[in-house]
Order: sequence, then C-alpha cells, then structure tokens
Amino acid sequence: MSDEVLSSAATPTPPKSLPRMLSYVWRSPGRITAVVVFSFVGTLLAILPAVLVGSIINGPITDGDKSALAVDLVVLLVVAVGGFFAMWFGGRLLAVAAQNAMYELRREVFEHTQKLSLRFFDRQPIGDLMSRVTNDLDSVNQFFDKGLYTAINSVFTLLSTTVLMFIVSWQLSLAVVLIAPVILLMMSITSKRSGPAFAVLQERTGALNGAAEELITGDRTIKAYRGEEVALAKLEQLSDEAREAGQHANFVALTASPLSAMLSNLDITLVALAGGYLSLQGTVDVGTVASFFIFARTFSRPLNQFAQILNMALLARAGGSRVFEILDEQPEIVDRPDATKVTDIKGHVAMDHVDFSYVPGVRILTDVTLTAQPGQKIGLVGPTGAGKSTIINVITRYYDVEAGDIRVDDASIYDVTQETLRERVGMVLQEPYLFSDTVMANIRYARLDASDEECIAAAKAASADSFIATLPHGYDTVLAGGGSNLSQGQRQLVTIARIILADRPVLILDEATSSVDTRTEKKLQEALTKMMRGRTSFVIAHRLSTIRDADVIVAISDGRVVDVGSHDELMAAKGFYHDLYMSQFRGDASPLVSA
Amino acid sequence: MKLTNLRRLLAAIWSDPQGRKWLLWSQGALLGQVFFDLLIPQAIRGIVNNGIIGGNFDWVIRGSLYMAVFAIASMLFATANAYFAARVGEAAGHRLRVAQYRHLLSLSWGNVDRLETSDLLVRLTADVNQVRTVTMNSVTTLLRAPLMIIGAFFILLAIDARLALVMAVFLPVVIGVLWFYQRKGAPLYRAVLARFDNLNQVLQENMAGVRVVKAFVRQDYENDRFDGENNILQDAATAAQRGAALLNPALLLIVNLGLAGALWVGGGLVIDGDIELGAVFVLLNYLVAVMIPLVLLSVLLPQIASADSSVGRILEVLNEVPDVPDKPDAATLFDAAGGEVRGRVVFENVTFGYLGPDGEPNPNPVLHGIDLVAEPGQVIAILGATGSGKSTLVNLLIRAYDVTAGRVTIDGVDVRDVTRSSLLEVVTPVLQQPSLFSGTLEQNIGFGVTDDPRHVDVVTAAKAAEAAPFVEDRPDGYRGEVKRRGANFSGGQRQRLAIARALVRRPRILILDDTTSALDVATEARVQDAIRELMGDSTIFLVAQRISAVLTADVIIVLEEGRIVAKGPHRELLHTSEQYRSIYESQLGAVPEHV
Repeated sequence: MSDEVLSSAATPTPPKSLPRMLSYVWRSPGRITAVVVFSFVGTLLAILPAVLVGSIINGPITDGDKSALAVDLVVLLVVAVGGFFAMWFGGRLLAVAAQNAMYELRREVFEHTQKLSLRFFDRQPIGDLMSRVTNDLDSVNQFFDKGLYTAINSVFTLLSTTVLMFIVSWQLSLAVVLIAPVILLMMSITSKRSGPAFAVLQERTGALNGAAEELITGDRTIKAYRGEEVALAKLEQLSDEAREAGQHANFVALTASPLSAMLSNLDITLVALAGGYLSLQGTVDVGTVASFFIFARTFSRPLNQFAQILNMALLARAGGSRVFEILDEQPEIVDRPDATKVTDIKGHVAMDHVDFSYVPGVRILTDVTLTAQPGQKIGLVGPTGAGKSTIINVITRYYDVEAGDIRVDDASIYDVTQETLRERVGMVLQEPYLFSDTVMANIRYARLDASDEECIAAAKAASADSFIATLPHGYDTVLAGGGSNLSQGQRQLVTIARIILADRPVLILDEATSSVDTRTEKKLQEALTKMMRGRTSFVIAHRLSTIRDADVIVAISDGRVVDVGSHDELMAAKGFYHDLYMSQFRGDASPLVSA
Repeated sequence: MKLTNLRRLLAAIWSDPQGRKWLLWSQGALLGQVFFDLLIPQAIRGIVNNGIIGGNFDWVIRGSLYMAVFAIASMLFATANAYFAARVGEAAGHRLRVAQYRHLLSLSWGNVDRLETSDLLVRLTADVNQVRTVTMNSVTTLLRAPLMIIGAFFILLAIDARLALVMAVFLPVVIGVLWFYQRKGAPLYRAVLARFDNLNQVLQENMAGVRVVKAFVRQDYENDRFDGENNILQDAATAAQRGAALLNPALLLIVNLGLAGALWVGGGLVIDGDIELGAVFVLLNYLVAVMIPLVLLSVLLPQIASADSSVGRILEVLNEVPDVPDKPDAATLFDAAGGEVRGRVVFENVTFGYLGPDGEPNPNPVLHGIDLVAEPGQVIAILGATGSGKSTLVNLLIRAYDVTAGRVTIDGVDVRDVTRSSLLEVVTPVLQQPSLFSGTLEQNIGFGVTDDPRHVDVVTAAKAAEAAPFVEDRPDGYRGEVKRRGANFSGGQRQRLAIARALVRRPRILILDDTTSALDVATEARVQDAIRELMGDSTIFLVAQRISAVLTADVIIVLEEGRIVAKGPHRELLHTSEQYRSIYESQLGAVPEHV
C-alpha cells in the first residue's frame, strides 16, 4: 500500500490517459461510427459547393444559359442543405456520446471514492479532491464538449478539401497545400514565444490570487487594526504586476491570429498568381480559379484550429490523468473474501495488544488491551492527542491495526464484513455533521425506513424537538450550508437524535455533548443514560464529570493504557487519573477562590 | 439579453482617459485591418478581369503584388489592434480588482459576512479574469465581422446595387442565426452550470461527511443521490451540446446559400452583360472571407453573456452600502470624550440581531437587553456555551456591527457618534480567529500601527504574549518569515503572535476573544498575568470557554442564548448563580467544600 499523497499537478502526465479518456466515448461504438460517417459526409457535402461554383462559372454563366444556371444552383442548394443536416446530425450524436462518457466517468469516480478508506481522505485534502472531480473533470468535459467536435470536423474538412481540390486541379492544389507547413511552423514559433510569457503571467496571477485570498480571509484583522492602506497597497502592486505580465503574454498570443490570417491571405495571393498563370496557359479555366479561392480558405481554417484543439487535448489529458489517479487508488481496507456477516451481537468488545500508527513510524497506540463486557459503559480519558479517538477509529475498522486483534463477541473484526460491523455500532462524532437537507432527512439518515413519527420521537429524546419547533418550517426546514445557521450545540443534538433512531447495540460518543448548553445537557444526559442502558458504550469526554459514573474508566496517555478501573478505585490509587482529575482544580489555587 | 452590466463596464473603461485612448486606437486599427481585408478581393477583380479574361499576365503579377501588400498591411493593423486590446483588457482587469478591493475595505464585517469570503474571492479573481479576457476578445472580434459585412456592402453598392443586395440579405440572416443561438443556447449552458453546482454540492457534502457516510453505511444511498444529480446534469449537458452542434453547420450553410445567391444574381448580371465576371469574384470572396470572423464572433457571444453576469456580480460588491458607516459629522472619540479616554464601557439595554441575507434584521436577536458596566482598569470575563453571543457582544464595542436597540458608550460617548478609525485607536480586539499575513514576524506584530513600532516595544509585547521564546528560537528571530496566512506557525503560536500584535499598541481597552484556547492551562495563566501587568489600568474584556481562564476577573458574566444570566465575581457567583455553578461543576467537578 502506497502512502504517498496523490501526485501534484506538477508531476508528468502519463501519456496513456488520453486513450483511456477516449475509451469512455468509445463505449457506444455504433454511435461513434455514425458520428464519423455523418461528419465525413457532411463536411464533404458542405465543401462540394466550392467545386460547383467553378463548374457553374465555367458552364451556365460562361454559356449565358440562365435556366441551366437555375438547375445547377438547385443542385448546389440541395448539396449544401444535405451537408448541413449530415453535419448537424453528426454533432448531435457526438453530444450524446460525449455526455454519456462524462456521466460514466463521473459515476465511476464517485462510486470509487465511496469504496476508499478513511486514510485516503486523511491524506487527501477535500479541496484537492473536489478540484479533481470538478475542475479536472471539467477540462475533460471541455474537450469532449468542444474539442472532439472541432477535431473531427477539422480533420474531415482538411481531408475533404484536399481530395476535392486535387480532383479539380493538382497544380493549383500544390500552391494551396504549400501553406500547411508554414502555418504549422508559425504556430509552433508563436507558442514557443507565448509559453514563457504565459508562465510569467500564471506565476504573477498565482501571487495575486494568493494575496487576495490572504487579504480577504484576513479582512476582520485588517479592519480591526486599521491596516487598510497597507492591504490595498499590497493588492494594488500585485495587480499591477499581473496587468503588466498579462499585457505582454496576451499581446504575444493575440498576434498569432493576424499572422495566420496574413499567411492565409498570402496563400490566396499564390492561388491568384498561379491561377492567373495557369489559366493564361490554358491549363485551368476561370471557374477553377474561383473554386480555389474558396479552397484556399477552407484549407487554412482547420489548420489554425489545430493549436486550439491540441491545447484542449493537453489540458484534458492533464486533468484526466489526475482523475484516473483517483480511480487507480486501491481501497486500503478490504473485506476478506470469506468474511462473515455480523448478526445479532451481545456487545462484548475486546482489544488485544493493539499497536497502531497513522503514519508509519509514528506510533499512536502501543500495546492497548481493554475489554468491555456487554452493557458496560467505558469512559476513555486522557490529554488531547493521547489516542482516545484513535481507539474508536480502530474498533470500527476505519483503520487496520499493525499488531494485535480486536474482537466483537469473540469474532475478530478482521473476519467479518466492514458493512455489517458498522451497522452494529452507533457513533456520534466530535464534529457534528449535517447535510443541506431537511431536519427530518438528516435524522432519517440513521435509518432510511424510519417513519416521521419515529424520527420525531428520536428528536424529542435528544431534546432537539424544542429548537426544531422554532425553525421556520419545523422538521421540514432545509438546513442551508449543512446547518451553518444552527449553533454547534443544536447540531450536536440532531446527531444525537440520529444515533437514538439508529438503535445500535454498541455506542460510541466522542465529545458528543461538548457544546450543548448546561441546562439542555442535564436533560440530555438522562436520555443518553437511558439509551446506554443494556448497550455497550464508549464515551470520550473532556468534562470528567460526564464519565465519572462509567463502569470502567480507561485512562490513556501517549497511546498507552495507564489506568483501568472505576472512578473511586482510580482516585484511591492516586495514579494518572487522579492527577488528571485534580489538575482541573488548579484554578482553586488562585487567591480569589482559596480565601 | 440586455447586457446592462456590460454597458456600465464600457462606461467605466471610457471614463478612464487612458482606457478611452487605447480603446479608440484599437478600433481605429481594426478599421484599418478590415479596410485592407476588403481590398484583397478588389485586387482579385483586377486579376480576373484584366489578367485572366483580358489575357494580360502583367495584370496578374501586379494584382498579386497588391494582394500581398494588402495582406501585410492588414496584418500590421491587426497586430496594432491586438496590442491595444491587451492593454484595454488588462487595464480594465486591474482597475476592477483595485476598485473592488478598495470598496471591500470600506465595508463592514456584516457586509462581508453576507457576501461570503469564498464568493468575494471568486469575484475578485475569476470574475475579473472573465471580464478582462472577454474585453480583450471583444476589442479584436466584436466589430470585425459586422464591419466587414457593412464595408463589403458599400463596395458592392459602388459596383452594382443588385450585387449589394445579396450582402444586404446575408447580414440579417447571419445576425438572426447568431441571435437565435444566443437566445436558445446560452440558457442551456447556464442550466448546465446550475446542475453542475448541485452535483458539486452533493459531492462536497459527501466528502466532508465521509465519516458519517461510513458510520451509517450509506454508500449505496450516496451513490443513488449522486447518480440522480449526475443524470440530471447529463441531460442538461447533452441538450446544451446538441444545441451548440447546430451553429457551425448553420454558418457553413448560410455561406453556401450566399454563394448560391451570388451566382444567381451575379451570374444573371454577367449573362445580361451588366457587370464583368470579376465583380462576381469579389462577392464570392467576401462571403467566404467573412466566415472566420463569424465563427470567432459566435464563440465570443456566449462569453459576452457570461462576462455580463460576471460584471453583475462585481457590481453587487461595488454597490454594497456599508452597514456601519461613519456619521457625516462624526468626531474622533478622543475629542468627543473631552481630550482623554479613560475606558469606561457601558452597555445600555443592548439588543442585537444580525442582518439576514436580504439585509433585513433577523427577527431572532442574538443578544437581548444586555446591561453591563466596565470601569476603567477592570477585567470583565464573558462565559457561555458556543453560540450564546459572547463574541457578538464584544464585537459591538468595536462597531463591527451596530446595535439593533440600546446603546454602547465609552466614557459616555455613543460609539456610533465617533469615527470608526478613532474608535479602533482606543479599542483593540484580539480576534477569535486572528489572521497573520505573509511578511516578517516584526511586520506582523506591528501590523497596522501607523508609525512602525520600536523594536523594543515589539519584543516587550512578544515576551508578554509568551511569543518571544519561539520567535527567538528561529534563526532570523523577529525578521523570520511568516508564510501566507501564517501557515508555518501552529494554532497556539498564531494566537500568541496575535496577542503580541494587540499589546504593542497599548490600547485603552483590550478585547481578548477566546484567544488562548489553543494554549495549555499553565501558559494561559502566565499570558494572562503578563497582560494585566503590561496593560495597567486598561479595561480588558475576556471571552472564554474554559472556566479556569476567568476565575480572577473582576466581573464574570454568564451568557445563555444571548441573555446575561449571571453577573459578578467568581466567589459570589458560586453561591448565587445556579448556571455558573453548573458550568463550574461540568468543567471542574464538584465545588470544593471549603469555598
């Protein structure tokens, strides 16, 4: 198992990501074949009028035959309209294929992330993951949405023009084709010049955006300390530097278009010169020259678009490879092939000589052994960072231990499926997490088949009912921003309602009531005590009063179990727990109190 | 689409003398470019009439030379246009950034809360980028195709009105197609963006709540939720891309129809002997030549629509009126207090509710009927659960927000009657989430002090804040680098630097808003003692969660849901306040008997 963080944007992109991306489009081969056929026929028909223009000038117009002119023009119209429909259908079919591919890609990525273990989410900042799934997938989408269509059309336009052109006059065709290497050369020179210029721009824009972020997030400090002038000067300077770099880079980039326009015009000049010469020689006639004026333009147009397509493809490849890195990430914690299901359990939980580290070499738990008898309340205490939450993380198998074993009702948790294990354990986490959905849906998240009445009953038991009643739409209020308008204590109450509804035989409460106000907490404690009756529970709390009545208190320090016993036993032993307990009263030493 | 916002942007560019100059120059250059582009077919006319049909090869050579000269001249003008385009666009971007940030600095905390930090950042970066890119592209592209078509019309009019008629029909048809596309296509892409946001929200919540998802074994449920949004997005994206697939074939069709029209009208005129064949070549060439500018224009139009909404979002910031403006005749606090500020703070029956997103006061106030007197030199501690209104209370003192009812006075002067700047000279808050800025440590400690503080004062403040040990441990000491947002310091170190930053200003009134939460109890006690010693008779407001931090305060107030439920010194409260006792017990256990 690799512990490296997913490579950053700077790492070289594996070249195979472009074919891999396209393989998603190829999942509907019939449709793609139809796209190719329609597009080819369409561009051919759309360019054919250039040939007809020549023959009409040579034929009816030179002959002075108006009725023949009308007939020929009807043919031209039919061809043009046919080309239009064929191209349009091709484009529409491509849209379906491309967006199917995007759908599949998004689905695969999401479903894959759901299988990944917590360790992956620990080392992968959410912002980075979001950026991969949004920005990087979007650059793939840009390519599928615009690039593919332009690419297919450009290739066929070039192909159709070349074929038709050489059929009409190979000599003049040579004059037209001459432009291709010149345009490609010119494009590579411009991109060589604009590349470094844009690199400077990107760097300065990065500095500017970084400063903007710093200044905006530091807005309160700036205003409270009257730092407005300093802040404005900083932004203004960086903005001005970005402006300067932008002027240069964009000017270089914008000159590409006049240059290629000039080359295209010079190509037409060449056609005029060669056409004039050849027609005076009698090799070609005047209508053919007219056709080639049109050919010269249809030929150079796709050439100019190649740079743009290439750019999109490169962006898509870079984005795609970052997305595929997620797809190639293997879930770290997997069920054994013969894993059994946990059915009804009594709630006996035992950790046996467990060692654990999040990062190899930095031991968090060392030789932890503890036992919870069915129905017992276990209090976990210890300083911040001692490893209390880690114990909970390994009991629920969010992480695998390095050594030792964990058993639930005598079955090792490594022999059962993660899913059924977690379905027996109810957890309330330190940071209450709510979804931007209704209050009811948030509670029901614990048990999807629960009725409204059951959800409300759970909320009442969690003392959440009274504040929910004051919300604009009661239980149907949508919690915008994941309940950001609720207080931390209120959010905690909703998560407790969840756990009451979930009705699990084993319970874990990690600082579950830390932000609940004192009056509510009293009521809540009664409900929690009632819920814990007959269930095995693990309780972590800073307020030692919360766990004084635990059947067993386990004191943890530096990842080791240092004290095990009831409150009275441990106080009498005057060990680590006793010191921890007494350290809270340091304030008593202050003269105001001790007098 | 009305593009009202873009008109304001144009007015803004116009109002800047330099911007106006560059804009005029750029459009002048564009005229030159179009002029020479239009001359090229005129040269072709000569080649066809006098050269090919007239049988004079000199005419072919001469005409080709003209064409080459016109091509180069057009390129030179186009390059000049690009040069000014880069200037106009970058200058507009720079001005928008600076104007936006300058205005942002004049706004109050409440404005910034409502506008949201992440949104403001997007407006300052991505939205400005959108505007500057589109400005640049508009300068080069917007008028090019219309000018070409109109110019071609007049040139043709000089040859034969009937030929010009083809162009006169061509223009409205093109405009019609582009308009139709814009009308139907832009909303489709806007719909895609909205769906995309919905999908991202599901994704964001899923990832942020990954522990909850795993705890309740809700992977399948989450997959379904994502799949639902993914499907909706796919439908919207397919519809948009299918719509867009119409554009290119349609433009090609129009050009082909134009060719047919040209041959019909022009061919007829040639047959009738009214014009020479070369004139038909002119029309044919104009029709084909206008294709590229038309395609570019069709790419630009959707960008213009989104730039319009970007400008709209930027205007929202610029039009935001500060919640807490200075009164027009506001004096300084120093003058209003009669030449000396002692630091007596009184809250008189203060009620406060935050403004909702619509700018209307929230009907549920955060603070109710607060009465509080702080005598000069007193330490006032404010205790209460998360969300009880502690920070809000002290923020009213620096006029981060204005009270809804009642008043806050310093030495009898209502804080709303003096300038905010002079208020902040007297009151210095250490914020709950202090920001550090990139720069040196000394710059950070001296941040915002108008005259750079003496080094010795910086050191004294750092010592009192217990920041000196870790600062002096660094090789560069006080010149040591602070990375962006203080990322190279721990939470506790950042808090201590923020305290030092406040202490160096020696304010009359100091606010400490839960600023020692990341420190251990012993360090916290040392910092508090040092602050009291250094600040002498300054008034100190101390917001805290830990009861151990407030034991020695002169007055402790307990807030519950925005109301003061207890007020007095520690020993008194232990006897008189049920709530205080309950907090004490919950944090420190049973009250010792000897008190």
